[in-house]
Amino acid sequence: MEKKIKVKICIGTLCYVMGGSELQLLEEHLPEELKKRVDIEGSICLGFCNSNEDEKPPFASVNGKCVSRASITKLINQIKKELEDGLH
Amino acid sequence: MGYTNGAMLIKREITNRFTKLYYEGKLETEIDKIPLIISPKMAKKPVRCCIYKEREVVNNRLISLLGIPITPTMDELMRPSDYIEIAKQREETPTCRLNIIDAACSSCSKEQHVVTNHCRGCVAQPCMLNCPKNAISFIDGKAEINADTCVNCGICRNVCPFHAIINTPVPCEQACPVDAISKDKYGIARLDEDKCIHCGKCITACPYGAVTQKSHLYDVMKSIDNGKKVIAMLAPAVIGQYNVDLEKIISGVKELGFFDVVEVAVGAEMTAAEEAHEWKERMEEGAKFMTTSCCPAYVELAEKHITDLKPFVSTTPSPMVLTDRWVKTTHPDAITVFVGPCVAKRSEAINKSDVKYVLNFEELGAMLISKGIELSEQSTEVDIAGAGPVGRGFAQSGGVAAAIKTAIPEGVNEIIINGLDKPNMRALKSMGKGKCDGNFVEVMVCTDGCVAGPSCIADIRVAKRQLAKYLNRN
Ligand code: FES
Repeated sequence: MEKKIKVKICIGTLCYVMGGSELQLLEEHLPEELKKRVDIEGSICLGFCNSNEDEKPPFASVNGKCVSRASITKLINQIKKELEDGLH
Repeated sequence: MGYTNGAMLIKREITNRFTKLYYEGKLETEIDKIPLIISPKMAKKPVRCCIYKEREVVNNRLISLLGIPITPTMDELMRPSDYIEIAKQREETPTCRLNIIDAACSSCSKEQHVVTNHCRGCVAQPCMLNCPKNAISFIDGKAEINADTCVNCGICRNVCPFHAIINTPVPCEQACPVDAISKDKYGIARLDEDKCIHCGKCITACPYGAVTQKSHLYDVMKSIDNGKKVIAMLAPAVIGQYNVDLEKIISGVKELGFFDVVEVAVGAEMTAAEEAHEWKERMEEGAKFMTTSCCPAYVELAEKHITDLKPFVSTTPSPMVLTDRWVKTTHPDAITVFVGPCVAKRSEAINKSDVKYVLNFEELGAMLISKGIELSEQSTEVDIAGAGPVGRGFAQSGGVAAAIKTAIPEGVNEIIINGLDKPNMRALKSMGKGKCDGNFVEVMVCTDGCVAGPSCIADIRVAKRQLAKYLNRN
Protein backbone atom coordinates (compact mmCIF):
# COMPACT_ATOMS: atom_id res chain seq x y z
CA MET A 1 0.00 0.00 0.00
CA GLU A 2 1.11 3.51 -0.74
CA LYS A 3 2.69 5.33 2.16
CA LYS A 4 0.62 8.19 3.47
CA ILE A 5 1.80 11.78 3.68
CA LYS A 6 2.27 12.67 7.30
CA VAL A 7 1.07 16.09 8.39
CA LYS A 8 1.76 17.34 11.89
CA ILE A 9 0.01 20.45 13.08
CA CYS A 10 1.51 22.26 16.03
CA ILE A 11 -0.97 22.86 18.79
CA GLY A 12 1.60 24.53 21.02
CA THR A 13 0.29 27.66 22.72
CA LEU A 14 2.55 29.92 20.65
CA CYS A 15 1.44 28.56 17.30
CA TYR A 16 -2.16 28.59 18.37
CA VAL A 17 -2.09 32.21 19.49
CA MET A 18 -0.27 33.17 16.31
CA GLY A 19 -3.09 32.03 14.07
CA GLY A 20 -2.76 28.24 14.10
CA SER A 21 -6.34 27.53 15.11
CA GLU A 22 -7.53 27.61 11.50
CA LEU A 23 -5.38 24.54 10.79
CA GLN A 24 -7.78 22.46 12.86
CA LEU A 25 -10.02 22.64 9.82
CA LEU A 26 -7.44 21.19 7.41
CA GLU A 27 -8.96 17.75 7.30
CA GLU A 28 -12.35 18.93 6.10
CA HIS A 29 -10.81 21.27 3.54
CA LEU A 30 -8.71 18.58 1.91
CA PRO A 31 -9.79 17.85 -1.65
CA GLU A 32 -11.54 14.46 -1.86
CA GLU A 33 -8.71 12.86 -3.80
CA LEU A 34 -6.21 13.73 -1.09
CA LYS A 35 -8.22 12.65 1.93
CA LYS A 36 -7.13 9.02 1.86
CA ARG A 37 -3.53 9.81 1.17
CA VAL A 38 -2.85 12.01 4.17
CA ASP A 39 -2.48 11.38 7.86
CA ILE A 40 -3.07 14.44 10.01
CA GLU A 41 -2.19 14.68 13.64
CA GLY A 42 -1.93 17.44 16.20
CA SER A 43 1.39 17.71 17.94
CA ILE A 44 2.84 19.55 20.89
CA CYS A 45 5.51 22.15 20.09
CA LEU A 46 7.33 20.93 17.01
CA GLY A 47 10.43 22.80 18.10
CA PHE A 48 10.49 25.10 15.09
CA CYS A 49 9.58 28.13 17.14
CA ASN A 50 12.93 28.12 18.89
CA SER A 51 15.15 27.29 15.97
CA ASN A 52 14.90 30.14 13.52
CA GLU A 53 13.97 33.79 14.02
CA ASP A 54 13.23 34.23 10.33
CA GLU A 55 10.53 31.61 10.16
CA LYS A 56 7.27 32.66 11.71
CA PRO A 57 4.56 30.66 13.47
CA PRO A 58 2.15 28.95 13.11
CA PHE A 59 4.15 25.87 12.23
CA ALA A 60 3.26 22.52 10.77
CA SER A 61 5.28 19.81 9.12
CA VAL A 62 4.59 17.76 6.01
CA ASN A 63 6.62 14.55 5.90
CA GLY A 64 8.98 16.14 8.38
CA LYS A 65 9.49 19.32 6.37
CA CYS A 66 8.76 22.55 8.21
CA VAL A 67 5.98 24.79 6.93
CA SER A 68 6.02 28.22 8.54
CA ARG A 69 3.19 30.79 8.56
CA ALA A 70 1.13 27.73 7.81
CA SER A 71 -2.34 28.11 6.38
CA ILE A 72 -4.74 25.55 4.98
CA THR A 73 -3.91 26.52 1.41
CA LYS A 74 -0.17 26.40 2.04
CA LEU A 75 -0.42 22.96 3.59
CA ILE A 76 -2.53 21.56 0.76
CA ASN A 77 0.02 22.84 -1.75
CA GLN A 78 2.84 21.27 0.21
CA ILE A 79 0.98 17.96 0.41
CA LYS A 80 0.46 17.99 -3.36
CA LYS A 81 4.13 18.73 -3.85
CA GLU A 82 5.13 15.83 -1.64
CA LEU A 83 2.85 13.51 -3.60
CA GLU A 84 4.35 14.65 -6.89
CA ASP A 85 7.90 14.33 -5.62
CA GLY A 86 7.06 10.85 -4.42
CA LEU A 87 6.36 9.83 -8.01
CA HIS A 88 9.85 10.63 -9.23
CA MET B 1 -11.25 37.83 14.48
CA GLY B 2 -12.14 35.23 11.95
CA TYR B 3 -9.29 35.04 9.50
CA THR B 4 -5.56 35.35 9.68
CA ASN B 5 -4.61 38.96 9.44
CA GLY B 6 -0.99 40.06 9.11
CA ALA B 7 -1.47 43.32 11.02
CA MET B 8 -2.90 41.33 13.91
CA LEU B 9 -0.04 38.85 13.86
CA ILE B 10 2.62 41.56 14.02
CA LYS B 11 0.77 43.10 16.94
CA ARG B 12 0.73 39.76 18.72
CA GLU B 13 4.40 39.22 18.02
CA ILE B 14 5.19 42.58 19.62
CA THR B 15 3.03 41.74 22.62
CA ASN B 16 4.80 38.40 22.99
CA ARG B 17 8.21 40.06 22.93
CA PHE B 18 7.07 42.66 25.43
CA THR B 19 5.88 40.12 28.00
CA LYS B 20 8.94 37.94 27.42
CA LEU B 21 11.29 40.82 28.23
CA TYR B 22 9.20 41.64 31.28
CA TYR B 23 9.49 38.12 32.65
CA GLU B 24 13.21 38.02 31.90
CA GLY B 25 13.60 41.23 33.86
CA LYS B 26 14.99 43.01 30.81
CA LEU B 27 12.12 45.28 29.87
CA GLU B 28 13.87 48.51 30.95
CA THR B 29 17.07 47.77 29.13
CA GLU B 30 15.77 46.11 26.01
CA ILE B 31 12.31 47.38 25.19
CA ASP B 32 13.75 49.97 22.81
CA LYS B 33 15.40 47.20 20.83
CA ILE B 34 12.11 45.53 19.92
CA PRO B 35 11.41 47.88 16.97
CA LEU B 36 14.88 47.10 15.59
CA ILE B 37 14.23 43.38 15.84
CA ILE B 38 10.83 43.61 14.20
CA SER B 39 12.09 45.89 11.43
CA PRO B 40 15.79 45.18 11.06
CA LYS B 41 18.14 47.20 8.91
CA MET B 42 18.46 44.58 6.20
CA ALA B 43 14.74 43.85 6.13
CA LYS B 44 14.00 42.33 2.76
CA LYS B 45 10.91 44.33 2.10
CA PRO B 46 9.31 46.62 4.64
CA VAL B 47 5.54 46.59 4.38
CA ARG B 48 5.20 50.30 4.96
CA CYS B 49 7.27 52.87 3.11
CA CYS B 50 10.47 52.24 5.07
CA ILE B 51 11.81 50.54 8.18
CA TYR B 52 11.90 53.82 10.08
CA LYS B 53 8.19 54.29 9.80
CA GLU B 54 7.63 50.69 10.82
CA ARG B 55 9.85 51.16 13.85
CA GLU B 56 7.89 54.24 14.84
CA VAL B 57 4.67 52.23 14.70
CA VAL B 58 6.23 49.51 16.86
CA ASN B 59 7.39 52.15 19.34
CA ASN B 60 3.83 53.41 19.60
CA ARG B 61 2.50 49.92 20.11
CA LEU B 62 4.95 49.35 22.92
CA ILE B 63 3.96 52.60 24.59
CA SER B 64 0.35 51.52 24.28
CA LEU B 65 1.25 48.17 25.84
CA LEU B 66 2.58 50.14 28.79
CA GLY B 67 -0.90 51.59 29.20
CA ILE B 68 0.06 55.05 27.95
CA PRO B 69 -2.29 56.88 25.55
CA ILE B 70 -1.06 57.56 22.04
CA THR B 71 -2.01 61.13 21.20
CA PRO B 72 -1.10 63.52 18.40
CA THR B 73 0.56 65.82 20.92
CA MET B 74 2.73 63.31 22.74
CA ASP B 75 6.43 64.02 23.15
CA GLU B 76 8.17 62.46 20.19
CA LEU B 77 11.52 62.36 21.93
CA MET B 78 10.23 59.89 24.51
CA ARG B 79 11.13 56.25 23.85
CA PRO B 80 9.10 53.34 25.23
CA SER B 81 11.69 52.84 27.99
CA ASP B 82 11.05 56.40 29.17
CA TYR B 83 7.47 55.47 30.01
CA ILE B 84 8.24 52.42 32.14
CA GLU B 85 8.70 54.47 35.28
CA ILE B 86 5.27 56.05 34.80
CA ALA B 87 3.70 52.64 34.35
CA LYS B 88 5.54 51.36 37.40
CA GLN B 89 4.31 54.15 39.68
CA ARG B 90 0.77 54.16 38.36
CA GLU B 91 -1.94 53.06 40.76
CA GLU B 92 -4.97 53.93 38.69
CA THR B 93 -6.25 51.85 35.78
CA PRO B 94 -5.41 53.14 32.28
CA THR B 95 -8.58 54.44 30.64
CA CYS B 96 -10.51 52.56 28.00
CA ARG B 97 -10.37 55.15 25.24
CA LEU B 98 -9.22 53.83 21.88
CA ASN B 99 -6.27 55.61 20.28
CA ILE B 100 -5.12 56.02 16.72
CA ILE B 101 -1.45 55.50 15.96
CA ASP B 102 -0.98 58.35 13.49
CA ALA B 103 2.13 56.82 11.98
CA ALA B 104 0.22 53.62 11.31
CA CYS B 105 -2.89 55.22 9.82
CA SER B 106 -2.45 55.24 6.08
CA SER B 107 -4.95 58.07 5.56
CA CYS B 108 -6.93 55.94 3.13
CA SER B 109 -8.62 58.02 0.49
CA LYS B 110 -12.23 58.94 1.03
CA GLU B 111 -14.80 56.32 0.12
CA GLN B 112 -15.46 56.40 -3.59
CA HIS B 113 -16.89 54.44 -6.47
CA VAL B 114 -14.43 53.97 -9.31
CA VAL B 115 -14.91 52.71 -12.83
CA THR B 116 -12.13 50.23 -13.55
CA ASN B 117 -10.71 49.49 -16.99
CA HIS B 118 -13.05 46.54 -17.29
CA CYS B 119 -15.74 48.96 -18.42
CA ARG B 120 -16.56 48.08 -22.02
CA GLY B 121 -18.83 51.01 -22.67
CA CYS B 122 -21.72 48.68 -23.34
CA VAL B 123 -24.92 49.55 -25.13
CA ALA B 124 -27.12 49.06 -22.08
CA GLN B 125 -25.23 51.65 -20.00
CA PRO B 126 -27.24 50.71 -16.89
CA CYS B 127 -24.86 52.57 -14.60
CA MET B 128 -25.62 55.89 -16.22
CA LEU B 129 -29.33 55.26 -16.69
CA ASN B 130 -29.91 54.14 -13.10
CA CYS B 131 -27.77 56.68 -11.28
CA PRO B 132 -30.15 58.74 -9.14
CA LYS B 133 -27.73 61.67 -9.10
CA ASN B 134 -26.82 61.84 -12.76
CA ALA B 135 -23.22 61.44 -11.72
CA ILE B 136 -22.20 59.17 -14.58
CA SER B 137 -21.37 60.15 -18.11
CA PHE B 138 -19.73 58.30 -20.97
CA ILE B 139 -16.49 59.79 -22.18
CA ASP B 140 -14.55 58.15 -25.01
CA GLY B 141 -16.80 55.11 -24.75
CA LYS B 142 -16.24 54.57 -21.04
CA ALA B 143 -18.23 55.41 -17.96
CA GLU B 144 -16.91 58.09 -15.67
CA ILE B 145 -18.16 58.99 -12.23
CA ASN B 146 -18.29 62.59 -11.14
CA ALA B 147 -16.96 62.45 -7.61
CA ASP B 148 -18.62 65.73 -6.66
CA THR B 149 -22.15 64.52 -7.28
CA CYS B 150 -21.72 60.79 -6.47
CA VAL B 151 -23.23 59.83 -3.11
CA ASN B 152 -21.78 56.29 -3.02
CA CYS B 153 -25.20 54.69 -3.17
CA GLY B 154 -23.72 51.70 -5.02
CA ILE B 155 -26.48 51.29 -7.61
CA CYS B 156 -24.05 51.55 -10.55
CA ARG B 157 -21.83 48.91 -9.00
CA ASN B 158 -24.76 46.56 -8.59
CA VAL B 159 -26.14 46.99 -12.08
CA CYS B 160 -22.91 46.82 -14.08
CA PRO B 161 -22.99 43.51 -15.97
CA PHE B 162 -19.18 43.34 -16.01
CA HIS B 163 -18.53 44.14 -12.34
CA ALA B 164 -16.46 46.97 -13.69
CA ILE B 165 -17.32 49.44 -10.94
CA ILE B 166 -15.77 49.02 -7.54
CA ASN B 167 -16.21 50.70 -4.22
CA THR B 168 -13.14 51.58 -2.20
CA PRO B 169 -14.36 52.11 1.34
CA VAL B 170 -12.48 53.44 4.33
CA PRO B 171 -12.34 50.21 6.33
CA CYS B 172 -12.55 51.76 9.80
CA GLU B 173 -15.40 54.08 8.85
CA GLN B 174 -17.25 51.28 7.16
CA ALA B 175 -16.87 49.00 10.18
CA CYS B 176 -18.00 51.55 12.75
CA PRO B 177 -21.72 51.08 13.39
CA VAL B 178 -22.13 54.51 15.00
CA ASP B 179 -20.08 56.87 12.80
CA ALA B 180 -17.64 57.54 15.59
CA ILE B 181 -14.56 57.46 13.39
CA SER B 182 -13.78 59.96 10.67
CA LYS B 183 -10.85 61.75 9.10
CA ASP B 184 -9.23 64.95 10.26
CA LYS B 185 -7.98 67.51 7.78
CA TYR B 186 -4.83 65.48 7.17
CA GLY B 187 -6.85 62.39 6.33
CA ILE B 188 -5.88 60.63 9.57
CA ALA B 189 -8.62 58.76 11.39
CA ARG B 190 -9.95 60.34 14.57
CA LEU B 191 -12.26 58.78 17.10
CA ASP B 192 -15.04 60.66 18.78
CA GLU B 193 -15.16 59.41 22.35
CA ASP B 194 -18.65 60.81 22.84
CA LYS B 195 -19.91 58.52 20.10
CA CYS B 196 -17.59 55.51 20.51
CA ILE B 197 -19.24 52.43 22.02
CA HIS B 198 -15.92 50.54 22.22
CA CYS B 199 -17.17 47.66 20.11
CA GLY B 200 -13.68 47.22 18.69
CA LYS B 201 -14.84 46.75 15.11
CA CYS B 202 -12.39 49.40 13.85
CA ILE B 203 -9.49 47.61 15.55
CA THR B 204 -10.18 44.48 13.54
CA ALA B 205 -11.10 46.30 10.35
CA CYS B 206 -8.06 48.55 9.95
CA PRO B 207 -5.65 46.78 7.58
CA TYR B 208 -2.81 48.81 9.08
CA GLY B 209 -3.55 48.02 12.69
CA ALA B 210 -3.76 51.73 13.44
CA VAL B 211 -6.37 51.57 16.19
CA THR B 212 -5.09 50.55 19.57
CA GLN B 213 -6.31 50.26 23.12
CA LYS B 214 -4.16 50.90 26.14
CA SER B 215 -3.15 47.60 27.64
CA HIS B 216 -3.31 46.62 31.30
CA LEU B 217 -0.68 43.92 30.83
CA TYR B 218 2.07 45.77 32.62
CA ASP B 219 -0.19 46.61 35.55
CA VAL B 220 -1.33 43.02 35.93
CA MET B 221 2.18 41.55 35.77
CA LYS B 222 3.41 44.21 38.16
CA SER B 223 0.62 43.57 40.65
CA ILE B 224 1.38 39.85 40.63
CA ASP B 225 5.08 40.55 41.12
CA ASN B 226 4.33 42.88 44.01
CA GLY B 227 2.66 40.00 45.79
CA LYS B 228 -0.85 41.36 45.47
CA LYS B 229 -3.81 39.02 45.58
CA VAL B 230 -4.60 39.10 41.88
CA ILE B 231 -7.57 37.02 40.80
CA ALA B 232 -8.27 36.23 37.15
CA MET B 233 -11.88 36.00 36.01
CA LEU B 234 -12.13 34.14 32.71
CA ALA B 235 -14.98 35.03 30.36
CA PRO B 236 -17.10 32.09 29.15
CA ALA B 237 -15.72 32.55 25.63
CA VAL B 238 -12.35 31.28 26.86
CA ILE B 239 -13.56 27.73 26.37
CA GLY B 240 -13.32 28.02 22.59
CA GLN B 241 -9.97 29.71 22.52
CA TYR B 242 -6.93 27.63 23.32
CA ASN B 243 -7.62 24.19 21.88
CA VAL B 244 -7.57 22.51 25.28
CA ASP B 245 -10.22 21.85 27.86
CA LEU B 246 -11.14 24.56 30.32
CA GLU B 247 -9.50 22.70 33.20
CA LYS B 248 -6.12 22.95 31.50
CA ILE B 249 -6.58 26.62 30.73
CA ILE B 250 -7.34 27.31 34.37
CA SER B 251 -4.29 25.36 35.55
CA GLY B 252 -2.13 27.24 33.05
CA VAL B 253 -3.41 30.64 34.08
CA LYS B 254 -2.79 29.78 37.73
CA GLU B 255 0.83 29.05 36.82
CA LEU B 256 1.16 32.70 35.85
CA GLY B 257 1.00 33.61 39.51
CA PHE B 258 -2.64 34.52 39.92
CA PHE B 259 -3.88 33.94 43.44
CA ASP B 260 -6.95 32.28 42.02
CA VAL B 261 -8.70 31.77 38.70
CA VAL B 262 -12.48 31.77 38.44
CA GLU B 263 -15.01 31.50 35.66
CA VAL B 264 -17.23 34.45 34.83
CA ALA B 265 -19.78 31.80 33.85
CA VAL B 266 -20.50 31.63 37.58
CA GLY B 267 -21.62 35.26 37.52
CA ALA B 268 -23.47 34.57 34.26
CA GLU B 269 -25.66 32.05 36.04
CA MET B 270 -26.44 34.68 38.67
CA THR B 271 -27.19 37.22 35.95
CA ALA B 272 -29.52 34.74 34.25
CA ALA B 273 -31.44 34.05 37.46
CA GLU B 274 -31.73 37.72 38.37
CA GLU B 275 -32.58 38.79 34.85
CA ALA B 276 -35.33 36.16 34.57
CA HIS B 277 -36.79 37.53 37.79
CA GLU B 278 -36.57 41.10 36.54
CA TRP B 279 -38.21 40.15 33.25
CA LYS B 280 -41.14 38.56 35.05
CA GLU B 281 -41.60 41.64 37.19
CA ARG B 282 -41.46 43.97 34.23
CA MET B 283 -43.98 41.88 32.31
CA GLU B 284 -46.32 41.96 35.28
CA GLU B 285 -45.99 45.72 35.35
CA GLY B 286 -47.07 45.78 31.73
CA ALA B 287 -43.75 46.42 29.97
CA LYS B 288 -43.73 45.49 26.30
CA PHE B 289 -40.30 43.92 26.34
CA MET B 290 -36.92 43.91 28.02
CA THR B 291 -33.45 43.69 26.52
CA THR B 292 -30.33 42.07 27.92
CA SER B 293 -27.55 44.15 29.46
CA CYS B 294 -24.55 41.84 29.47
CA CYS B 295 -23.02 43.15 26.23
CA PRO B 296 -21.29 46.39 27.28
CA ALA B 297 -21.05 47.76 23.74
CA TYR B 298 -24.82 47.40 23.40
CA VAL B 299 -25.38 49.19 26.71
CA GLU B 300 -23.19 52.06 25.47
CA LEU B 301 -25.17 52.05 22.23
CA ALA B 302 -28.38 52.51 24.17
CA GLU B 303 -26.80 55.22 26.32
CA LYS B 304 -25.15 57.20 23.57
CA HIS B 305 -27.21 56.61 20.45
CA ILE B 306 -30.57 54.91 20.84
CA THR B 307 -31.57 56.54 24.10
CA ASP B 308 -35.18 55.51 23.53
CA LEU B 309 -34.08 51.97 24.29
CA LYS B 310 -32.60 52.76 27.66
CA PRO B 311 -35.75 52.17 29.71
CA PHE B 312 -36.02 48.71 28.16
CA VAL B 313 -32.48 47.64 29.06
CA SER B 314 -32.30 45.26 31.98
CA THR B 315 -30.76 46.71 35.11
CA THR B 316 -29.40 43.36 36.22
CA PRO B 317 -25.62 43.58 36.63
CA SER B 318 -23.48 41.84 34.03
CA PRO B 319 -21.80 38.48 34.66
CA MET B 320 -18.47 40.27 35.10
CA VAL B 321 -19.86 42.52 37.82
CA LEU B 322 -21.57 39.69 39.68
CA THR B 323 -18.50 37.49 39.46
CA ASP B 324 -16.44 40.34 40.87
CA ARG B 325 -18.84 40.77 43.80
CA TRP B 326 -18.86 37.03 44.41
CA VAL B 327 -15.04 36.89 44.45
CA LYS B 328 -14.89 39.81 46.84
CA THR B 329 -17.20 38.25 49.39
CA THR B 330 -14.34 35.89 50.22
CA HIS B 331 -11.44 38.09 49.12
CA PRO B 332 -12.40 41.71 49.73
CA ASP B 333 -8.79 42.78 49.20
CA ALA B 334 -8.40 41.09 45.82
CA ILE B 335 -7.38 42.85 42.64
CA THR B 336 -9.69 41.39 40.04
CA VAL B 337 -8.77 41.01 36.39
CA PHE B 338 -11.39 40.21 33.75
CA VAL B 339 -9.95 38.17 30.88
CA GLY B 340 -12.03 38.14 27.74
CA PRO B 341 -12.39 38.72 24.01
CA CYS B 342 -13.98 42.12 24.39
CA VAL B 343 -12.88 45.70 23.91
CA ALA B 344 -15.94 47.28 25.51
CA LYS B 345 -15.47 45.32 28.73
CA ARG B 346 -12.55 47.66 29.49
CA SER B 347 -14.94 50.52 29.39
CA GLU B 348 -17.47 48.73 31.59
CA ALA B 349 -14.80 47.56 34.04
CA ILE B 350 -13.30 51.00 34.49
CA ASN B 351 -16.43 53.12 34.45
CA LYS B 352 -19.07 50.91 35.98
CA SER B 353 -17.50 48.27 38.16
CA ASP B 354 -14.91 47.46 40.80
CA VAL B 355 -12.96 45.26 38.43
CA LYS B 356 -9.48 46.71 38.36
CA TYR B 357 -7.98 45.44 35.12
CA VAL B 358 -8.98 43.77 31.88
CA LEU B 359 -6.81 41.52 29.76
CA ASN B 360 -7.76 40.10 26.42
CA PHE B 361 -7.09 36.62 25.05
CA GLU B 362 -4.14 37.83 22.99
CA GLU B 363 -2.51 39.33 26.05
CA LEU B 364 -3.18 36.27 28.17
CA GLY B 365 -1.70 34.18 25.36
CA ALA B 366 1.42 36.36 25.36
CA MET B 367 1.85 35.83 29.11
CA LEU B 368 1.51 32.06 28.75
CA ILE B 369 3.91 31.86 25.83
CA SER B 370 6.51 34.07 27.51
CA LYS B 371 6.43 31.99 30.67
CA GLY B 372 6.80 28.84 28.61
CA ILE B 373 3.47 27.46 29.85
CA GLU B 374 2.21 24.82 27.43
CA LEU B 375 -1.52 24.55 27.97
CA SER B 376 -1.78 21.05 26.55
CA GLU B 377 0.61 19.82 29.24
CA GLN B 378 -1.34 21.29 32.14
CA SER B 379 -3.10 19.27 34.76
CA THR B 380 -6.82 18.68 34.56
CA GLU B 381 -7.05 18.39 38.33
CA VAL B 382 -8.76 21.66 39.08
CA ASP B 383 -11.99 22.37 40.77
CA ILE B 384 -14.34 24.06 38.36
CA ALA B 385 -17.52 23.63 40.27
CA GLY B 386 -19.86 26.58 40.26
CA ALA B 387 -20.67 27.10 36.62
CA GLY B 388 -22.59 24.95 34.19
CA PRO B 389 -23.66 25.02 30.56
CA VAL B 390 -26.19 27.77 31.22
CA GLY B 391 -23.55 30.29 32.29
CA ARG B 392 -20.96 29.11 29.80
CA GLY B 393 -23.49 29.41 27.00
CA PHE B 394 -23.46 33.23 27.42
CA ALA B 395 -20.43 33.16 25.14
CA GLN B 396 -22.50 32.75 22.00
CA SER B 397 -25.41 34.39 20.33
CA GLY B 398 -28.64 32.91 21.64
CA GLY B 399 -27.02 31.77 24.87
CA VAL B 400 -28.52 34.41 27.12
CA ALA B 401 -32.02 33.92 25.76
CA ALA B 402 -31.59 30.18 26.25
CA ALA B 403 -30.59 30.78 29.87
CA ILE B 404 -33.67 32.89 30.49
CA LYS B 405 -35.87 30.27 28.91
CA THR B 406 -34.37 27.62 31.13
CA ALA B 407 -35.36 29.71 34.12
CA ILE B 408 -38.80 30.55 32.74
CA PRO B 409 -39.96 27.76 30.42
CA GLU B 410 -43.11 29.53 29.29
CA GLY B 411 -44.05 32.92 27.99
CA VAL B 412 -40.64 34.10 26.82
CA ASN B 413 -40.86 35.16 23.22
CA GLU B 414 -37.31 36.01 22.30
CA ILE B 415 -35.79 38.14 19.58
CA ILE B 416 -32.08 37.65 18.96
CA ILE B 417 -30.03 40.56 17.72
CA ASN B 418 -26.90 38.82 16.52
CA GLY B 419 -24.36 41.48 15.59
CA LEU B 420 -24.71 45.18 14.87
CA ASP B 421 -25.15 45.27 11.11
CA LYS B 422 -27.35 47.83 9.40
CA PRO B 423 -30.63 45.85 9.52
CA ASN B 424 -30.11 45.12 13.21
CA MET B 425 -29.36 48.77 13.89
CA ARG B 426 -32.66 49.65 12.22
CA ALA B 427 -34.46 46.96 14.21
CA LEU B 428 -33.07 48.30 17.49
CA LYS B 429 -34.05 51.85 16.61
CA SER B 430 -37.62 50.83 15.94
CA MET B 431 -37.68 48.83 19.17
CA GLY B 432 -36.77 52.06 20.93
CA LYS B 433 -39.99 53.41 19.46
CA GLY B 434 -41.83 50.51 21.09
CA LYS B 435 -42.10 48.30 18.01
CA CYS B 436 -41.03 44.84 19.04
CA ASP B 437 -42.49 41.48 18.07
CA GLY B 438 -41.10 39.69 21.10
CA ASN B 439 -40.95 40.33 24.81
CA PHE B 440 -37.31 39.46 25.44
CA VAL B 441 -34.50 40.83 23.29
CA GLU B 442 -31.00 39.45 23.47
CA VAL B 443 -28.43 41.80 21.97
CA MET B 444 -24.84 40.98 21.15
CA VAL B 445 -22.84 43.52 19.20
CA CYS B 446 -20.41 40.94 17.84
CA THR B 447 -21.91 38.63 15.24
CA ASP B 448 -22.02 35.12 16.74
CA GLY B 449 -21.45 36.54 20.20
CA CYS B 450 -18.39 36.75 22.42
CA VAL B 451 -16.77 33.68 20.82
CA ALA B 452 -16.18 36.01 17.89
CA GLY B 453 -15.06 39.02 19.91
CA PRO B 454 -12.40 41.36 18.53
CA SER B 455 -9.64 39.97 20.74
CA CYS B 456 -10.28 36.29 20.14
CA ILE B 457 -7.36 34.23 18.95
CA ALA B 458 -9.19 31.19 17.61
CA ASP B 459 -10.89 30.93 14.26
CA ILE B 460 -14.59 31.49 14.87
CA ARG B 461 -15.65 28.13 13.40
CA VAL B 462 -13.13 26.31 15.55
CA ALA B 463 -14.07 28.28 18.66
CA LYS B 464 -17.76 27.59 18.22
CA ARG B 465 -17.19 23.90 17.74
CA GLN B 466 -14.96 23.65 20.74
CA LEU B 467 -17.45 25.47 22.92
CA ALA B 468 -20.28 23.21 21.74
CA LYS B 469 -18.17 20.13 22.38
CA TYR B 470 -17.38 21.25 25.90
CA LEU B 471 -20.95 22.20 26.71
CA ASN B 472 -22.19 18.81 25.52
CA ARG B 473 -19.56 17.00 27.53
CA ASN B 474 -20.94 18.46 30.71
S1 FES C 1 4.80 26.13 19.61
FE1 FES C 1 4.55 25.52 17.57
S2 FES C 1 6.54 24.97 16.97
FE2 FES C 1 6.78 25.51 19.05
